[in-house]
Amino acid sequence: MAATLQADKLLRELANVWEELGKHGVEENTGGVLRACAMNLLVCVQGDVEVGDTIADLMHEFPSRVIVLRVKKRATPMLEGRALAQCWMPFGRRQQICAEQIELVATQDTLRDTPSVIRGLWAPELPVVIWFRHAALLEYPEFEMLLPMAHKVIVDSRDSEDPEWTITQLQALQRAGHGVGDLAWARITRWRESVAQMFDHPACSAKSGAIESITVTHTSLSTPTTSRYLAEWVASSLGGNVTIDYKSLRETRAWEIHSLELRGEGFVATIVRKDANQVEIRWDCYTSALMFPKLTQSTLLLEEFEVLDRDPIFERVLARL
Amino acid sequence: MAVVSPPPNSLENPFEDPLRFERRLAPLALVIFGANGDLTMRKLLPALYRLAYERRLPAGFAVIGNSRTGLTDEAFRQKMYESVKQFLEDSAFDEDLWQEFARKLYYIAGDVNDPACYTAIKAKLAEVERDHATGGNILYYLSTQPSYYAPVIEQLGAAGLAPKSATPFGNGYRRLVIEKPFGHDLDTSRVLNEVVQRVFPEQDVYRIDHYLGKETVQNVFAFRFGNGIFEPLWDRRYVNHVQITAAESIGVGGRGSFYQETGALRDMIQGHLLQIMATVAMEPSAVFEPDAVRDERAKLLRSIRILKPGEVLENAVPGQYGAARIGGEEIKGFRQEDKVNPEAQTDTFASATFLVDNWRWAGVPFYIRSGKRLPKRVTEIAIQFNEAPHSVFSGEPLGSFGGRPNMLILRIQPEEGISLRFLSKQPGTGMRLRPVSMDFNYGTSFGARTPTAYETLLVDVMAGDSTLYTRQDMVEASWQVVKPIMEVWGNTKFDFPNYDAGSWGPRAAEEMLGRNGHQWRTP
Repeated sequence: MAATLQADKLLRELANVWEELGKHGVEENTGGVLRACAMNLLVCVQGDVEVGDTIADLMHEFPSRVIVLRVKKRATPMLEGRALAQCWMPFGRRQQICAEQIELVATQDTLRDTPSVIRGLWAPELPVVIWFRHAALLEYPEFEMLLPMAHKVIVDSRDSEDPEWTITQLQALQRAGHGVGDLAWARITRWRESVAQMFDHPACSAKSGAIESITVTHTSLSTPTTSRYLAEWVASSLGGNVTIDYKSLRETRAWEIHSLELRGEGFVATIVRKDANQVEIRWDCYTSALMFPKLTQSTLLLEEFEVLDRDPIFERVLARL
Repeated sequence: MAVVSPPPNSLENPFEDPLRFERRLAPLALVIFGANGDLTMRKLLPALYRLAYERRLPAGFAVIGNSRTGLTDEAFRQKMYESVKQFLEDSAFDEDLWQEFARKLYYIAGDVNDPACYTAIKAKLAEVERDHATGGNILYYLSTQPSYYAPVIEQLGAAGLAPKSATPFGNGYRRLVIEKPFGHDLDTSRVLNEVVQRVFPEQDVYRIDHYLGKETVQNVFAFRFGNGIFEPLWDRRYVNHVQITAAESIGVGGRGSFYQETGALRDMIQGHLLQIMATVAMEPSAVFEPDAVRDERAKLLRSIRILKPGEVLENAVPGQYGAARIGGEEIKGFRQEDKVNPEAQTDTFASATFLVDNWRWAGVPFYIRSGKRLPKRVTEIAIQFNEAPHSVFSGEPLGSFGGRPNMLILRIQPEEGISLRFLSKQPGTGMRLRPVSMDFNYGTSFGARTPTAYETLLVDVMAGDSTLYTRQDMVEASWQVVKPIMEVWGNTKFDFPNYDAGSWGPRAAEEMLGRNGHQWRTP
């Protein structure tokens, strides 16, 4: 008999999970649990790649109903689901905070059955975000049924097998009217903020019209999407004609973008990595150092979750790639 | 008059991204008077460091600390290093960041009454403007003893360092932050303000009330005015009474001599809780802009009925903690604390009943209490709603919640959040009701760390946003409210101590509510 899955059954399972947690809390006299849900998050994953740690980090700041959809390559069709809760005890508190999680496992043959189940699993009146942990899954037409429900679709073009293809998919989604996000864009937010901060100073800002060239130096051999995003963002923000150059440091470092240089008549401004934690900003005789925090998948996702509406600046730059 | 430099203008900076970037601040030099004191070490520098860590500080930034103690720049930096490491809240400490941050810290030793001190400060300001591109903007922070406020302000004016100085020094904004207390009473508050206004226009004066900087107090605005369902209930037709509690479990510690001149009424009720009451009770402003919000707060404060002398003792209860044993530890009474007069009449506990004479709140008592050596540290606002007009459940027991089951609790600290209590049917046969609580916990719904009040307030003053700061009319209105209480208490010899350390205050405070058929909530 073909495997089937029902949203109602999974929701009943979820309700049982809450009841058990609540009973446990009463028995242990810990004040029960706090069920928190601010968003729906669909995580699309290939195979058995682990996303538990990332989800656990995310839930601390964006407790959500998380649906993890695993697409596995198997000869035998498979369609399974289970409900669970992710709980943690904040330091110094007696009450656990729990966010809910539903795991679905499908194979390529049964993937077509999942959208109808997922539609019944969304928590009502809350935003829906779809994170394609593996951007390659975008090629499955089955996901087209879910995209209209999403406030935002998030990928990571930098970490995808084919970044160019991923960018193309993202551009197509954006043209079709979907809200889109790319973790590669979130990776350069601190670089962009540093540029903006530099040009807050009136003396620097006065020279922005003189900038003729942008050079981004990266550590990898090929030009990563992060470098392209950064350069195109600077160019599109300045308007006018500026040349863009990409250079490779050809040295392995703990970071990807090594430096950004803006050059024009009588003006040079640079932002250069000092180490894994800091960059140095230099223009004229002015120097300043800025902290760059360590980026993890969860910090990048959290930034994207903060921007659930359309992001016109990102979309403008995406269109230029 | 000094020319005010415009803050970063998102329209002029082509690289602005308001969706992703934190609000950025114009460059500035921060001059802290009293830089060797507790507030600077425990609150200001840790907050500034944290802002640097979060990349919130402008690139052009420097701190000039001043105090009488002779310190070099290096010694000051070392002292601040130790303080920041010790007092940083919920935050990692990065040595590399500290090195970058510390090179912007400077120190000028000098007496605030000595013009030479301001000459030195002026020279240092010119230096940091050159070396750190502070853009000519200066923020003066009065972290000194209150008795030094007037001399500092006058000297700033005389030295050309204030906006209304006869010969202003440099360009850029000149802002003044004053810590509480703003005067010791209404008259001294007015005198201080006259000194301030001679050299600083009101728009450049920021009177700090760190309670207003707390995320949860700000959330009262969001809760009341961001949602459509609560305001219709937020008046005399539905609210039975409001209780505002600010309790501390600690005593005065080593600050006995300062505290005995102040007391809970001045320190907490006039200083903070009336502002919180105003936030809870004010009318919505048309826009969320500083003066629009502060206009409504000030209007509410002016609407609080001023007690007549004969009404004070029934409607305002002072207390002073006595010795007790708490959790196996012998706790001293206030009069046994260091440097406290054994005959002191200081109120370490103060409670009062206030009425607001306006259409929204006529007849609704606002009960406010604050005290030291209470059972726990808690600050909350509890809004007790009226009972249902008619109970259809006659004959079924409603338990001790009786006829007024609905209460909305806004928890300021700790465990910041909001709870709504209501009745629900108990599972099973019959219609038995029991109270349940619907909870929103700030920290769990929005992430692990919220900014400290000082981080929020420092960013706001650097951005020129005075929404969370107290205006002079608000200060005077709150002094007006407590003035008759201070006068009557000052002329009355109370039988102190009148509550044990570790209890919820004097019996008379319970009786004050009891006369209205109410009782204090146990938080």
